[in-house]
Amino acid sequence: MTGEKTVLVALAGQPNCGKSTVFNLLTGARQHVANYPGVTVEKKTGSFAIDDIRVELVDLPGTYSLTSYSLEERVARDFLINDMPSVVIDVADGSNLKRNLYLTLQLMEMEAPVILNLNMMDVVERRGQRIDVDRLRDMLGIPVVPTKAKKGEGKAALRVAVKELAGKRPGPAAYKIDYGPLEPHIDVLAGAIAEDPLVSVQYPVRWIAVKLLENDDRAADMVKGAHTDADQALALAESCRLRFTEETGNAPERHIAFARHAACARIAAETVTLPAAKKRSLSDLADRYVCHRFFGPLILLVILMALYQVAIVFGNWLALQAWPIWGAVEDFSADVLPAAGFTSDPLLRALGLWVVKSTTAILNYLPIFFLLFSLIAILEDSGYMPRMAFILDRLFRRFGLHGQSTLPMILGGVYVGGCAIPGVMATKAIPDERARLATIMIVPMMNCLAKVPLYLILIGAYFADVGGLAMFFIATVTLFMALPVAKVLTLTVLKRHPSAPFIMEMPPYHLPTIMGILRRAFERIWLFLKKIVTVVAAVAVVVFVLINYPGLPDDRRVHYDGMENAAIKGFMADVARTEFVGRITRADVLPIILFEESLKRAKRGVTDQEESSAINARFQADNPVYYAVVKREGKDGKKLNKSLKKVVRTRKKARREARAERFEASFLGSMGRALEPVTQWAGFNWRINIALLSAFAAKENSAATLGSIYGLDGDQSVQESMKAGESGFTPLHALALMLFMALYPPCVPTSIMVRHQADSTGWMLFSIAYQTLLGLLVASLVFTGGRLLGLTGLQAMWAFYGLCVATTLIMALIPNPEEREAAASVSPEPCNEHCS
Amino acid sequence: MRSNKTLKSVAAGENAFVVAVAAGFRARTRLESLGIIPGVEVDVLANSRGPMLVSVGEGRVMVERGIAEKVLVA
Repeated sequence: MTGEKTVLVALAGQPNCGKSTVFNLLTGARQHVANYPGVTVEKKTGSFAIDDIRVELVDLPGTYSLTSYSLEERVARDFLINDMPSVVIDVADGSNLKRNLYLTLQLMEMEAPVILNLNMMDVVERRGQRIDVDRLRDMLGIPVVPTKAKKGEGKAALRVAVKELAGKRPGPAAYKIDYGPLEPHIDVLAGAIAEDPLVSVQYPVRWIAVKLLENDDRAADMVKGAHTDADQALALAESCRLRFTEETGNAPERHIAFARHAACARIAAETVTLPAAKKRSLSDLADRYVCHRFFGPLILLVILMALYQVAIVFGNWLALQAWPIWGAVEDFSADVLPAAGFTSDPLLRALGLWVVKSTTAILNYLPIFFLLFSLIAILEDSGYMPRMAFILDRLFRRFGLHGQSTLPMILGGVYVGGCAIPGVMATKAIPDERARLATIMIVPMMNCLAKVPLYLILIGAYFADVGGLAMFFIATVTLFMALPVAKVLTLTVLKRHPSAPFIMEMPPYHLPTIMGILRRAFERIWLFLKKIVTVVAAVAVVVFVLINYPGLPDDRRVHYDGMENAAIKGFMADVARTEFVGRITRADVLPIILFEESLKRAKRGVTDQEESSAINARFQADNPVYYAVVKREGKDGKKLNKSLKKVVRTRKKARREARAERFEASFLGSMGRALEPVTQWAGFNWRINIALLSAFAAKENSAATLGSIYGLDGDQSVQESMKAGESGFTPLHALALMLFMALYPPCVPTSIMVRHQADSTGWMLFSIAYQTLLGLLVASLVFTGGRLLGLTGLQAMWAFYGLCVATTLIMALIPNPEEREAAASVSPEPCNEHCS
Repeated sequence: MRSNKTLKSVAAGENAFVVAVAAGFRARTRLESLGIIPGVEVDVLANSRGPMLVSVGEGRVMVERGIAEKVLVA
């Protein structure tokens, strides 16, 4: 047999069985992450070769069962039916075999070619259990391969089993679950279905029969889609169900679930030997403290503080250390792009630098993200996440959130300094759709790192004497705004969204491996780069147009040209009085300035004396005349250098003013002015509006824009110039502005992440719109209300704080939609549990 | 064998025998797949004010109190 053969192999398994470890063990580094078509469920594929066979390995979502209960289960089931993999490796946690068999038996019922992979055999041994693998193989009639994937053991055996099974023709499963009194009905229904040529070819007949008796509506759809006389088959199924209920007094679906579990228990009883003395495992022992009523929250607090310290504080420091890399990228593009002009730059340069700077601004956060992603992976792999949910579920549930909403909110910046992007990304782990959407909606309201510069400017300018208090206010008030908002959303727009009951497995603790952590962190960083950075660059172009066009009117351009000419004329007059006369012409003035700038750039961060001299030598060789002026060589060099400084000052002034004017005249500027009638209630004039509008691209922009509007580069002393530029501004204005910033819509990258995680453009637009309106409302309330009541900024601050805390408490007491339903209506099933 | 005792009323450290699960479809299938079905014995590990923590065989399952109230036990 020659030539390469490709086989499709699926990897199935329950959550927490070490499935991804097995996946990595088999595929190594060659893997690819995408989504299953049309859904947000992640689809990981990888490939490897066994001799002459090429294996395409698809990782199915981890599911406990194969009903159509959840999206993941449906995705897994549809894949098995539609793509018909040649082999299905069912990864099972050997230390919890009985429950894992529940999935195995369902896979076998679908007549999938199953290999049972008993993983985590190391845990089995450690706990003193024994599994009779041969007996299990005989009972099930399928290959059974024990592995210790975490230690890298069992890879070869698994590959051999895959190769053997891939070469065989699939046949009906050897083991069948005995459904007892339901069997006659299954036979009748299966007989009827088998007569149909279409269904019986497309689907395993017995499986379809069982599913129909289980009242699985997706199975009914399959029959409708394929059966020539579907209604008759469905009617037969319904009558079988009715008859069975009459005969046994038990609903068929319950009987089926029970029979499956009974079969699992029987198999486990014959193959698994548990240790005689049932001692409490280490996990249980740890959980006595970790999930304790008092110690639990305490431990959680310590862990979260450590997370904050490492990822945000240390990460920030690390980002600072890494900045020279991004600075070098900026410098490089500044050198490569067409040279700058005197007042305005060529379009290609202006646009190119803008895009590069927008991108590096976000890349700057890469070290923080990497630390965050690694720490999250540790929390996930160790098994702490479900514990976190356990501890906080009660509190968060009151606001329509989920115990697992904690992490996204921490990442978003519950205190100060997070980032909404990983926050929104982390909502993926929340199993409750409604709580997940609510969390996605409130994460951008947290205090991300980029909001901080504006806070600092405003606090420095208007609350300098109570700076610490004001910072505490803005840092904590966001939580008291976010929680009521989450509740309101849950009660209104999210009301109809399905909410899953909080039923979760609490897996035993595991020691995470470094490889596993790094792999996950890199995977997520890569996703981040792919999804965010590319779009940021694209959006930067749009923003560039908005803030630069239609551009300066002609008369202003003439004015700036005049400024340029006068400055150059003055310089040339000085040249005429030196030995450089004739060697420097008018056309040399701008190049000299640029020469000086690029020399400065080249020497930035260079501390070594030798290296510095080498750079000097290089520049001198390049153009000795320019060098002499820039480096003040000789008497005339000194003289001209002084004169040059004057020109540079004029140029800076002209550029700054032209930029501010261009800004005001731009599309964004017009928008800022147009919004003034509305925003005046919040105390924002058009200048502030422009700064806020520009912040939508990235929050850092607000400080930079204010800087350029108030005539300064950098944000170091923006507060002074702002105070000087806005004489009518009061602390109340500043407070309103800070609150608006806190609630301000997610920046563009976050919005993209919202769209990705909520899988809907509608939700993205909603999150932008409601936060803008809410921010405007709150800012107006504080500003106009505070002004009417004659409050000072500080008084208004604490009045608002009290209001938020009170709202939070009231919201906590309002019951959730289903609690209300449960109280109001009788549930469809006969139950008598309301008697307690 | 109707019983009024629910899983919610079982104190930590005690065990109970599941008689019926009278919750809605979603909660029931979820409990079933995690092994909480009529006929099994569960150990209650934690029952204070948040979700309950029960042990089923080798697995540990968290169940919110509203659902635990619908699991009839003996």
